[in-house]
Amino acid sequence: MNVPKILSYIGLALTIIPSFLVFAQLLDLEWYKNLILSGTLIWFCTAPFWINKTEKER
Amino acid sequence: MANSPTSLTEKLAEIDEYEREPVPRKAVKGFKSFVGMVAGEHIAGTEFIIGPLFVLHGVGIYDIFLGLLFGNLLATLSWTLICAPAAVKTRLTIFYQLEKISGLGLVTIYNVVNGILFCVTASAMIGVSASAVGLLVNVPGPGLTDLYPTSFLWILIIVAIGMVITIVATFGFDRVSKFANIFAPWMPLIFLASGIAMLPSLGVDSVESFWEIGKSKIWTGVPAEGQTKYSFWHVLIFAWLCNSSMHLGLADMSIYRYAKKSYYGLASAFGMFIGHFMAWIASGILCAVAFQAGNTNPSPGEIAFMGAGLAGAICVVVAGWTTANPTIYRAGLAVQALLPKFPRWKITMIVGITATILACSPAIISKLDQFLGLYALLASPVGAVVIIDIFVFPKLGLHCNFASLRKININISVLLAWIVALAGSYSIYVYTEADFYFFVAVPGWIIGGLSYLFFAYLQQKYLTKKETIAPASSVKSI
Repeated sequence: MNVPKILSYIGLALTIIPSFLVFAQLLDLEWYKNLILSGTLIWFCTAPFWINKTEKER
Repeated sequence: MANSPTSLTEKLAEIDEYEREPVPRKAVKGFKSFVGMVAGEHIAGTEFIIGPLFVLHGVGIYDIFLGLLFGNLLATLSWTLICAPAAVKTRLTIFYQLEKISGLGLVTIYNVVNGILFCVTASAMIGVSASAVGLLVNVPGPGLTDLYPTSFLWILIIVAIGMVITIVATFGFDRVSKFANIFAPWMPLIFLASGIAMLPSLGVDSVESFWEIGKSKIWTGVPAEGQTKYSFWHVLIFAWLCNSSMHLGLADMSIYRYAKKSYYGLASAFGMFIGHFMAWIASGILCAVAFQAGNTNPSPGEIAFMGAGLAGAICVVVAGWTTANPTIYRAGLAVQALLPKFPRWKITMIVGITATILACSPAIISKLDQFLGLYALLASPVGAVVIIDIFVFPKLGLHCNFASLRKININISVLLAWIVALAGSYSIYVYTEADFYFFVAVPGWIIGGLSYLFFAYLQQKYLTKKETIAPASSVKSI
């Protein structure tokens, strides 16, 4: 698994996990919104490097 | 290298979308291409409108969950058992297949209607995306009752979004699919995250309390003032038939003709259960939070921004793009069928520009539900005609692709079936006082199929007596 792909998955994790922390009342809404924006930006910057490429192209 | 395309025009001209020929084996796509595309297409900015619609119409909590479960299941089955098998068997677009069955004269009417309605749909998506961008850059958009754009800056936002969508669609199915793939895994997570994160605002602090608070604060079973009551059946029919023009009406033959196997129609489940189940539930939750905060008429951009901040607003923009891209691609194919000698990419570009101009008018966008309903009413009987012609005629010894075989401009049996089905389904719509046109898509589909069978049988029996035509076995659908 290459670096952009690992970073992409970290971005996706940052997009979803903070919402569960808000639900569990471990995180406030402002931090949640900052974290999912960070996750979004990480995904946008890394996913195009691998998502449409075949195993051979990678 | 002398023969390699150098200019952009040459590169675009080289993109073959097989508008008037079967998709060859080398061009078929894997299951993953369809998952990304349908997941992107069915998670649109409009999901932020439909989820709240059910809340406003007083749907009960059991009705929403069971109605969406069965409705989306039926929609998935309609793609898998009706649309994808027809597409894989013929590997043609609905437009060219229908031309072979009904004749150029009749298909011209169908294609014009398709081109216009796809343009309107795409323009609505551009408008929804623009509402989120406007919110971010503090440029207020027009209200639903406005006839003209509110400012020059608003027009610039519309043009910028319209350009991106048009350029992607111009590059053909491959680019549309790849563009959607980039956003497909991320978009549903934004919907899911915003729904979960907003639950504590309603007082939900555990999985157990979700059901109780959901019943008392979100899907209460009591409609808002001035709204009609929606039941389980409204939700089921809405979820099943809101895209009936695509599955029962076979508009998605344009997409699934690239599928290696017909079971790839199951990919639609990703669009349905993520976009039309989870996203409608999440946006319903957000709507209840907005109501609680005193906003009784929240826009998609406002709801998304409230639920997920800037990432939510970006999600609305992207959701508009990924729905508008394949819509403009389909509109390009519809118009291209009328002008086969004109390059598809030029037509797609003209269609994209038209949709962008339409997006400037909120008056058109506000009638989107009626446009979509009308399209479903018109398209369903046509889908039934094509299905009967491809799968039933060979079994009955009747001739497939009759217009192509006889070189006729208008196949009278298709025309009569279309008229009978439209009259029949519209009568049912009026008699039952249905909420949307697409609620009668199934009766229209059944009436269309049966009456085509009846009229075609009479036509072919009569013609066979008068003239000699090739036996059925020698005529095969491609």
